[in-house]
Amino acid sequence: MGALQSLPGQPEHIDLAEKTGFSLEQIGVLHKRFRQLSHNEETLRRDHFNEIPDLACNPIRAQIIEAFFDKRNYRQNGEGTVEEISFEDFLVVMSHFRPPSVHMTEEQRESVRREKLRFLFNMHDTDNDGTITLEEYRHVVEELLSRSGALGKETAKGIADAAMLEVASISVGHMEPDEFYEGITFEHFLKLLNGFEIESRMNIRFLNMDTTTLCK
Amino acid sequence: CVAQLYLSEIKVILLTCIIYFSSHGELSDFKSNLSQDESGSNITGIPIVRFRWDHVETPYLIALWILVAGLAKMVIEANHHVTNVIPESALLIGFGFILGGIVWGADLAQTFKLSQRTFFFFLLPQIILDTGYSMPNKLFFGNLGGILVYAIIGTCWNAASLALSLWGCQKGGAMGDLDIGFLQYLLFGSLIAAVDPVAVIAVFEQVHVNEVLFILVFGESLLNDGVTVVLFNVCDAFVTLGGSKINAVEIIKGIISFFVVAFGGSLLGFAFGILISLLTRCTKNIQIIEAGFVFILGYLSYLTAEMLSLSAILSIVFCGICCQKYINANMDESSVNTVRYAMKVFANGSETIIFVFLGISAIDKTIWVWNTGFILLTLFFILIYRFMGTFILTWILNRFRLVPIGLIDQVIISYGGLRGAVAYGLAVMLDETRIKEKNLMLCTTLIVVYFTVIIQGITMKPLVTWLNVKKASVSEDSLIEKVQNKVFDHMLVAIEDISGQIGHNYMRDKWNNFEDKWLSKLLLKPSVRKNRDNIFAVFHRLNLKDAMSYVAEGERKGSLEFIRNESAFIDFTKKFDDKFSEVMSDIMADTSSHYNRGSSMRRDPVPSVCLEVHEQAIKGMNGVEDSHHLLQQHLYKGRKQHLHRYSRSNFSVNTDENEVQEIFQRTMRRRLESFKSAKMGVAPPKKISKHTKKDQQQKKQHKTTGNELKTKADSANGYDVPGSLPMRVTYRAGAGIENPTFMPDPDPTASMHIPPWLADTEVDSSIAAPSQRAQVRLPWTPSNLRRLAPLRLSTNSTDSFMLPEAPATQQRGNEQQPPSEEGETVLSS
Repeated sequence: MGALQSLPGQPEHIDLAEKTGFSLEQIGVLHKRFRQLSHNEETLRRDHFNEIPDLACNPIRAQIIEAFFDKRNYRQNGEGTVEEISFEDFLVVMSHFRPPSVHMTEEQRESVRREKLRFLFNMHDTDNDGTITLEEYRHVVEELLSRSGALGKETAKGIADAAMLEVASISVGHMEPDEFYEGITFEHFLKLLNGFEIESRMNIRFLNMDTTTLCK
Repeated sequence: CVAQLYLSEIKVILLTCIIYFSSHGELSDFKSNLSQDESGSNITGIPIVRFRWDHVETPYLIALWILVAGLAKMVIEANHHVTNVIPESALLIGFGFILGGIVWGADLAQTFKLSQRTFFFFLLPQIILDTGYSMPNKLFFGNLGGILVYAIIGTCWNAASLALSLWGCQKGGAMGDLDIGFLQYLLFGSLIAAVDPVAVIAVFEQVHVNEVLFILVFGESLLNDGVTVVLFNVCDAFVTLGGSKINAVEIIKGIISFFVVAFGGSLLGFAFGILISLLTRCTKNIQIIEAGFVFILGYLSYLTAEMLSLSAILSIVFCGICCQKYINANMDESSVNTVRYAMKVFANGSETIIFVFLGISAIDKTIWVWNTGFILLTLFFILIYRFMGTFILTWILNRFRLVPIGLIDQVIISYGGLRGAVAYGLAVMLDETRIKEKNLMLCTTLIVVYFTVIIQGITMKPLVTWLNVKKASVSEDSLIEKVQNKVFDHMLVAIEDISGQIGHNYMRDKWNNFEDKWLSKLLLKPSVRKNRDNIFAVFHRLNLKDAMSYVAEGERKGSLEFIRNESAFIDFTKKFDDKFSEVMSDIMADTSSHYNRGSSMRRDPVPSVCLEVHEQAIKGMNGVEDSHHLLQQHLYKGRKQHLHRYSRSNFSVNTDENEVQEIFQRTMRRRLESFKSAKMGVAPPKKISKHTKKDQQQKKQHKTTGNELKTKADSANGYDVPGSLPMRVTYRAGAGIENPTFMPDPDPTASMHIPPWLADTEVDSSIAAPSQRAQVRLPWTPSNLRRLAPLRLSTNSTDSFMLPEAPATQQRGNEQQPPSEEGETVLSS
């Protein structure tokens, strides 16, 4: 891991390209960005992310940064969090946002979709117990609404509760009044977002062009 | 069914015949008779009535035609078996043929025609304004690149290629002897190049293709109308100028003019949109007409653009797009609804009229100049070049698109290139003195319109099914999806920020920030600025929907009958009286008096809502309703905020008496309880913190009780009389307590002048409430899950909606007695 030079077309880059599906140019651009963020170090830490000015006003910034340090997102069945990440980890996390290639079978498409949703699910499921509990969900909604001024915490709670109830009614169906809904499991999550166009919602065009100089 | 449809159609035709003949044939004779009479009677004295047809002729005819068009639509829509196969627009045109035939048969000339002035000034603007106003902005701007490419390059390509090919064919001698030069072909090409939004919407509305495909076709058709008008004007100028005077300078001027006209029109639209938004900021005091501003200013933007010879269509489109967000937020909700509905009425109405008149216009001998070669070749080239243009442009676009446009979608885009009234309107505008073959062009345009609207319109649906085009997912808006959507948005922006890309999301985020910072401040009322969040909007909308379905449900069951029905109402009072007078005689003595009085007073629908909810809530505890009803029953909560509003401000602020009263009714139990507990020295917070537990027990009790009326009775029984004694008596506000369910809640005055000790307990309970809610995992019981949190937000109302329902329900069942005979009495009496 690590020790990479910034020139594209290096053997390490070719490995990475195979592993993550990025093109060599894209890896080159991303690597440049990585060096820029890490101030030419081999690894990135949380405060490096916190320094990105554009990110400062993103309401769910914390969750997203956390996703980069979450072992679950490295496609290696790991758990827990790490303190710093290498370029490879960075790329692997980024590759969750790669648009799927045009020629794919239905099954592949489905598995890509699953993977992407898994990423999202993990982001919400902060304690990694396989369910998004009400508490965790409230946290998400609270953060989302944190920038819209007057909508206070209580509203967030109200909305989270209502959404959770909606989830309960969709995924469990009829519930006895004193039944208890544990939280959203991944299966429920898939079911909930069934009609969702994940293709257009969780993809980013990774340019071959280098625009890093324009971003701060 | 079909036979029935035809029957009714024939009826309408007969009707129109009658109208027609009465207005033209007999009536004019009649009129002349009358005028003779009149002239005769001039001498004798004052006529009692006069028949003055000529006095009202024009507006009368217009109104009649609108009526006929409306009736036609009604007949056509009466049977969905037909409209499922043949699109409405095609049927309307067909109807127009018939009407035109009748008119022709009567007059032997086409008296009614769609003049381009009527079309462009009175029929088109509202359709375009409506489309702009209801444009899904995010989708539109997300695909703006593609739309612009199709609209500008595609249209120019269509016009140029058609003109060139036709000209070539003429040179080749395929069309016989025609006096049309290349420039005139160009003019013809430009007028027929544009896909027509009216026709496209009419067809695609019924097909439900996926939203990206829809916005591509729809957005293109909207914008290219603007483009085509501009193109037409430029070509028209070229034709006027004559071939010999055209040089490079003129051509460049034409191109510049094209862009100036198109972008100038759009900018003008933006300016007017901002103007509307600004205006609606300060229409608080004239709410009743604020909806009118939208239409008037929209129309003015159209006319202004026309005056400045900018693109009027683009102007009004962008006016609608730009202002929708702000006016929807600024205006009162009822005004927004007014605008929405009025838009639809106007747009739909004029769409209907346009199609009917497109049909009627066909029945005119003068315009039919047949030239098989010209007409068939035009049709052929239009189809071919549309396909070619779409494929080439999509190929280029797909290189830049994240989600490429599939082959099937391309076919649909190409096939969806319907021509319509705009082309016809432009063809009518052709100057006969300069273009010798105007009638041939007009006739060809009509045939193209008929062909595309009728043939392609009919085949569109089978084609979509056959090609298995991805349809729009019919999803109700759910909160969780909205939340996830937002998460996605922010996540994409964040990833772009981290990876240092300047992409679509990055730009959108920058724009949103800019808008939040500047535009919103400028254009939005300060009061609405804060709760504009779209998750909240969905929340609000869902709440409203639940509330409405609640009422609907209740009314369907007929359980609200006694509110609507005077006698039943009084009946109920009597029953109530009988039953409770023993238990709480002192309350009844007071309340029943203005109870009865209330029955003769205003009947407000609001209490009926509460009643229904109340009933539902009790039912829910009986376990007979599905979980969706659990959501609904929290309508209760939505109102609770009023309590706060009331209690922190003085009475005069809250002018709506009914509202105030409702608050009283709702909160009375709690107040009673807290009062009681205060008196008895029980600390209220403690009590409330126990609620979760009790709640569940209570639910089981409810389950066993079964009968809701009994439950009601029991709960009413549960009120300890002495505790409430000091609180009643004084209340004599306007409307009586209409809602029997809340009858036992006595006196609101107590809270108007809350005694300090009572106020304290109230505050206590509201503070204590969150503690119960704040448990990590709530058991999902009907009484503590709530969908309906605040409907309106005020800055410091944090605790207003936090008052859980639990106390109310809990108290209701608090001292519940086992089902008694009294409950039965209520039922039987």
